[in-house]
Amino acid sequence: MFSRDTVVRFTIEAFCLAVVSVVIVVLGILATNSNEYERLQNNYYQNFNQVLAASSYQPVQSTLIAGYSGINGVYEGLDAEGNPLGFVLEVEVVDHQTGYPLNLIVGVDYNTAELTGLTRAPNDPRTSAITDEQIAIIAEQTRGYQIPVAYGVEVLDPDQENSDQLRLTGLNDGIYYAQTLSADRSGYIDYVEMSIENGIITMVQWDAFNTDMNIKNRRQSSLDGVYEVQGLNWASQSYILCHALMDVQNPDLLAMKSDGTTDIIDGVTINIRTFCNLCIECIENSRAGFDKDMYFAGLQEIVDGLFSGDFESLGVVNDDGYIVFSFDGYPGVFLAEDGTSLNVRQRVTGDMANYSDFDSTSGNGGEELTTGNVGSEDGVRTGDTTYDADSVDGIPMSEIKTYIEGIDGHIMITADIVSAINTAYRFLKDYLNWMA
Amino acid sequence: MNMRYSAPFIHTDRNDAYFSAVHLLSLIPIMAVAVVYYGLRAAILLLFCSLLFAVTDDICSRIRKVSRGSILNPLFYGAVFALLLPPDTPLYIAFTGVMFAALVVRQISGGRGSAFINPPAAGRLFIRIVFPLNEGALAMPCADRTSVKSLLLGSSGFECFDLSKYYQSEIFMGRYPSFLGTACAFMILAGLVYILAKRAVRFYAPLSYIGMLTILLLLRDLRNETSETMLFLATTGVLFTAVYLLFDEETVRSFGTVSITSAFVCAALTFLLSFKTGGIDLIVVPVVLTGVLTGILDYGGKIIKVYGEEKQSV
Repeated sequence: MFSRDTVVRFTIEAFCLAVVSVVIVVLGILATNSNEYERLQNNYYQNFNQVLAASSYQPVQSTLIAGYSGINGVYEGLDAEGNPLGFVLEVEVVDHQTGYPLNLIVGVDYNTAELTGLTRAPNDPRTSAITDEQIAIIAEQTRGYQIPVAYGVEVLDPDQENSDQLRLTGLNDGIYYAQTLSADRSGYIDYVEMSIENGIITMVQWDAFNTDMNIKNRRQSSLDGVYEVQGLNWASQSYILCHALMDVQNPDLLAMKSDGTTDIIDGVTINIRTFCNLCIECIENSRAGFDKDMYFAGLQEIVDGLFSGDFESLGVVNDDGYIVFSFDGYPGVFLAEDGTSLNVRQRVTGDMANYSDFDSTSGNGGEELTTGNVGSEDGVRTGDTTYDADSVDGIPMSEIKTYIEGIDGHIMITADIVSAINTAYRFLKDYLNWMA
Repeated sequence: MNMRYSAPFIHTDRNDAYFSAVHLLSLIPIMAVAVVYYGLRAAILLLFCSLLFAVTDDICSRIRKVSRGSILNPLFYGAVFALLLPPDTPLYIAFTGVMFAALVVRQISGGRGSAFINPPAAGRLFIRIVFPLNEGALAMPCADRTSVKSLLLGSSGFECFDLSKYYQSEIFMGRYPSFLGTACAFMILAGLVYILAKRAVRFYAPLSYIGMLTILLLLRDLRNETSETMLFLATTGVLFTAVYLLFDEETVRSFGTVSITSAFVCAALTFLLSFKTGGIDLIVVPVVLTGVLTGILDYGGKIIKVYGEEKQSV
């Protein structure tokens, strides 16, 4: 066999080869990681763009997915600035006509819970008898409407009608914005962005950026586990709260207690005072016609004024375009001559008119919101082909947001495709405590 | 069929064990790639196949009461076999392949030093025929490194991928779904450099194989894209064939006209097969066919030679 020297030599060579090889492979991985990401994103874009247009897609890592029946994958769509736009879910349902699986991808808007798209998944084995045209019909009927979905007539409960959403009066359409003027103890400056369409609050987003621009925004930090609050993570609570406001259309109806918390929104345990104040400011800005662009311009003008027109060199605009400036050291900037506090709009425009009428039960009595599609069939079907008037796919009828006509003469096919949409809803509800 | 045992009066380290050790060490770069890319399951497959091959070979040698030789040789064969497997291959399939290679191919043809078909290539071709579904299981590199579920259950599904979407650097580093050891051209070449530096092989056959194949591919691609030739050489595993299957002096003539001719035949077969198939077929089928062909010609030649000698003596 070998002499002792040869054994030693081979051992050393083996060790060196192994170390050098591992180092080279690891360096190779590091060098090709960006390619991997780019290709992955191209692949996601190709597969998902038709159901949810986004700049990038991130797979949702949750233990919930593996054990969730019918859900094969979940991705979060983000815009160029990293803000969430919605979810793409790979859903598998059974085509009850043939017994074969049908894989669909469902896009859902993050803010409005509206269906943004529905199509056959690229990895669908195409063993199901359901055609692309039939999927397209259901997609056409549901796109732009809130999920969950049922096919049939919506029976309105008269008692529920009164408790339905009420719209505030005097709101101008547009995108409105407000941020806190001082950072909190953690250095976060909260902001609320609100979209108003046809006088209705259709989107609310609450987040916070940090005065230390190296720290991620609060939503992302909470998802990363860096920013912790009691109960659900902050991002989920923020999400639930924003949707609660969209439901009631009035920050006063969130029933904030004197300690800043609320008891009426399941899952929300955080202090909502800042949120309510910023929402009120957004609503007032809407009534005054002071939109987001004007707010930013106004805020920039104020900061500019403090530093003798040297705004550019201050470096107070973060990567997402927000003005990161805390007025802690400048208490007089937002004080009127009579000592009353001003907000950005009042400071910029000098408009001191009262826009704060939040009595939504008065003010023209509010206007009832209606869901978009109304079908023509009573009775709905659950996913396992039994008929049940109280629930659809295991979702209580009270939660159904949209009713569709379905595919004429193809009840089973309609039910199977609708089941995919509702499976997506159920997952998001469980994952985010959505629509709590 | 080259017997490669040193005569007892030759006092040198360059014996069968030395060559086997060099070959085994030359696998370290691609074994590192396999383990770093595919994690625990790759390490287990490599260990399992190598040890199983060595143990089987040892038991057979004891039963047949022949020289057991260096354990490094069957370890090398076992590792080469493992490196030809998809990353998500279950252990029972690996077991079947090793048994076929170590028992059927190697022992039936006369044991160590007598096989005329490359045992790992034949074993791999066997499981490709017996378990065709296993071939679709090409996992993504650098994903799920700690999972060992596939060792029992196999692949969870077919992973679709388009090689044209991969960057040159990724292709060179083998970072695309492939078999455990055939993708990383860079590391295969590193192994080749080590073997040549240790002067452990004659390179007639591998060089003839790659040279012939390159010429044939260039002739094919001249009308279109000559870069396709490079892509073919880097991604189809033919480099692995050249370095680890055609360097096998037990089953491939290492020098002389026969060596170059068999390499040319192997290259021609690879080229012809590339029009019909890909994947593992392109790596092992030409090697096995060439082995069979060379074996038959060799055997026929010996018969003619013996017949001629007998005729002369009469």
